[in-house]
Amino acid sequence: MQNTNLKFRLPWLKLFFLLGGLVLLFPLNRCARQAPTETDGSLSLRLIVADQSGLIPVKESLGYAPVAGAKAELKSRNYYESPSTPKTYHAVSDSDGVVLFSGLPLGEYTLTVQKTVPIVDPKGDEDSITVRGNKIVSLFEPAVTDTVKAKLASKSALVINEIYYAGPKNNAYYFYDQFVELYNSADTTVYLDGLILCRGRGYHNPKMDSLDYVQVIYVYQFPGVPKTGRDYPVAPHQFVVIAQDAIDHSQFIKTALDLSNADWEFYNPYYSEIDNPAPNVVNAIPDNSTDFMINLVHDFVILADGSDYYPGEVSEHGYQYYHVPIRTILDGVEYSANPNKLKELTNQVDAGFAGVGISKYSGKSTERRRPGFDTNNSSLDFIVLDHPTPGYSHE
Amino acid sequence: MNRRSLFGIALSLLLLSLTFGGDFEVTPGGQLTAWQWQSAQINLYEYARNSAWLQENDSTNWMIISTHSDNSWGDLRRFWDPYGEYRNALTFSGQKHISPTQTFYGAITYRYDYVSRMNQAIDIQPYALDPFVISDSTEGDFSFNGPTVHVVYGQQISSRLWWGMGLDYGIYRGLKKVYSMPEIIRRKIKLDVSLAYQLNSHFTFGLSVRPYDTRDNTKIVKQPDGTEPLILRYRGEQVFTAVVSKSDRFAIYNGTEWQSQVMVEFSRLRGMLVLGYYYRWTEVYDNERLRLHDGFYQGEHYYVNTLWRYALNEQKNSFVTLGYRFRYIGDWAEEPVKKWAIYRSFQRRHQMRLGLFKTLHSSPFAVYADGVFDYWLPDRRDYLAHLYREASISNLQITAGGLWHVNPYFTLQAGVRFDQYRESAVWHYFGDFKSWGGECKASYRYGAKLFQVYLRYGKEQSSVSDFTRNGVIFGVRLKQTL
Repeated sequence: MQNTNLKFRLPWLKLFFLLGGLVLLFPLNRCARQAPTETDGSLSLRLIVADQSGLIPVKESLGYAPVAGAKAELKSRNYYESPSTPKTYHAVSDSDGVVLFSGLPLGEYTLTVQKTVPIVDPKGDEDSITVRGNKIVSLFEPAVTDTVKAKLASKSALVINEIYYAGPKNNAYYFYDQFVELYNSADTTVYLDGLILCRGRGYHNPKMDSLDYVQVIYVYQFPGVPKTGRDYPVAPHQFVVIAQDAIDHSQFIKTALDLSNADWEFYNPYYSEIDNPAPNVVNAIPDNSTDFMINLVHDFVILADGSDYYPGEVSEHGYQYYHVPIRTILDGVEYSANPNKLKELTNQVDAGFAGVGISKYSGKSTERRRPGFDTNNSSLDFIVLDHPTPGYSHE
Repeated sequence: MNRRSLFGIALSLLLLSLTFGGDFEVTPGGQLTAWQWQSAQINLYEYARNSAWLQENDSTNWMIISTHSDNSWGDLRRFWDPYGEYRNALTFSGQKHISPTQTFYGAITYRYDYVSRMNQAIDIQPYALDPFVISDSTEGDFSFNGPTVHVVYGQQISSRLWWGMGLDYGIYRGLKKVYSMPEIIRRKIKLDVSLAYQLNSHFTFGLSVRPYDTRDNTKIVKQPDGTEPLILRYRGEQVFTAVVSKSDRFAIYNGTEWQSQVMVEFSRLRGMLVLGYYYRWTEVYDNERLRLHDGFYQGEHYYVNTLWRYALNEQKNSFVTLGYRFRYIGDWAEEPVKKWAIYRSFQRRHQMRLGLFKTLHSSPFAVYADGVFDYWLPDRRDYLAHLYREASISNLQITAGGLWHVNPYFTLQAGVRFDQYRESAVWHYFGDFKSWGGECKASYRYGAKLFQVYLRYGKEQSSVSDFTRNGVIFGVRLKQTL
């Protein structure tokens, strides 16, 4: 027995020290990865803010019209500081219209620049005009330089104040109690004559920020003559509810809304829709055979003065798109349950998302945090309501 | 011998629980006192978990059934921490020498834990070293449960050489009771392959390699009202991505620990020296098929552990213990798109220990005292949050107590403990606090049976606020020597 042990001892001893050596050497020759040499959170953005409204003269030495003193807001599309607050950076442009941001994380950002320019109107009175620019900026290099063009900001007293699109809590796929609420935020009367409400085309167009129109698939129009009509007034600080169907929906689904008192109803005469007593906002596209039904999780609605819209391209699926010039748009709101979805409405109209977190058939709605509160960024402007408030504010 | 074996098993279970927990954390609640170290054997198996030494650790066969309940509650806690933690375990374990050269040890533990008012985190270990924490925006209770299996096989293959294998396998499943009601499932497997070589009667060398793989699956479910919850995924402090989703989140942690050990034995002196390297790679992602990553993390640990005990007399019933541990951690995390660093840290942790166990001459009494000083110097760089901090954290623990052998069957033990925890204000973990507590234990031996019951109580009081935290640990063990 002793001899056997001796026979084994030497090879085992060698093996032992061989393995021991490997263990000791392992940290020097391990499979660990090299630490990254670049650090996130250290990117910089140099932004040139150039005016295209004509209000600011071109500076010949620069070759563009610099918007000095413009407030720039860079809002991350990836990171948040609180569940409803994207991580946001602020800066002001210098005399050459240059804004510098530093210490930024990798990712995509929504950029908004804005400046109020003092003017003197033809009567000699002092007034002001706001120029504004929006852009999506992708930062994936340590230092990025970009340009944003500031244009005259469209300003309307009439805004889309609330959109209820998710449908009530139910298991029957019932969502016909959708509505859109408008609000007159001015101290003067405005008019609905000829205005159009439109629904988005339903997917992301990578070139949309460079277009001067918005692609839509529904156009529903108030009666009256656009811009000049005075037959359908909205009093100061009055709400206007336009229902998909102005009836008491709770007779079908207990959790659905009673919209029998809605001010208006979307009505499509080109299919067999029942015309309820409320006055109609009528489908203006004969080829469209559906009611004003909007997507239950992600879509956009725009309100335009109705003075101009025209047929655009036809999709590969045979849809006829219509183009609504941005200059005619009074307000637009894009909503999405998921804030990381690609935008479908250009930042020129809406730089954010309303309705984040609202899933279909949740009975929830999205409304401006205060009636008429409008920065053209629905992520800021809108909040989520557990219960819709047609014709009144949650406040 | 039996008594020492029991402490050995207790220590093994403690180590098992630590390894199951993964990287060490700052956890002042429920700290065990020093008596395990005083009483445990200093050898390859009990100090370094070298499975090859199982054969030599304990020559007896036995079975144990034990319960352990570790409870703490209070507002002295970190941001993610729960208000209350109520952790319970039932363990069946046994050891059998199946031949003169082979030994088998097995343990099955069933854990049932209840965590109350967990603040936002839906993560088993939000304070693990990696910066990725998944959370919602609510405070809620969790219940966790699941079995853990630990088996060890050791064999002597020549007069001076042993080898062994160990396996830890555990499933731990938790469910949050309120919105967003996620279910967390953790599966862990860890292997141990070890060798031990006895050079002579004074020196024995050991080698261990321990690959491991841990997988967490956090299932986000659609809510009862039909909504998809808003889930926040942190990439460091204060900065997170927000996702409205019901898709699952996965995290894989795997790596290997390499360890070499030296055991020294002289008539009055026993000691252990352990050198180790621990590697961890972590991937955090959505969608098991597409693997949409939140990020990656790598951790490397280098450590030295040593513990020495010198007997003060020939009877070896009084001794002095001296120990030191050092761990250096270098780790980093990167974002998934460009693989740029979002976090990096370099941490040094020292622990010094000095203990005395003294049997009073010609009396059934013994006294013990133990001091442990932890000094941790983290250098953490959170690139996304722009937080760069390097400041120390320390903890001093002093334990003192006595042992009374009432008669050959019955033993009582009681002690007190005091802790002084200090952290630099930049960390915002607990703030400075003091802790004090007491413990008592009774053992009754009847033939081949040993019955033990123990109770510990502790209270932590913040030095910078009115917050406190209370802790109670109790347990029962019944051992049958076969």
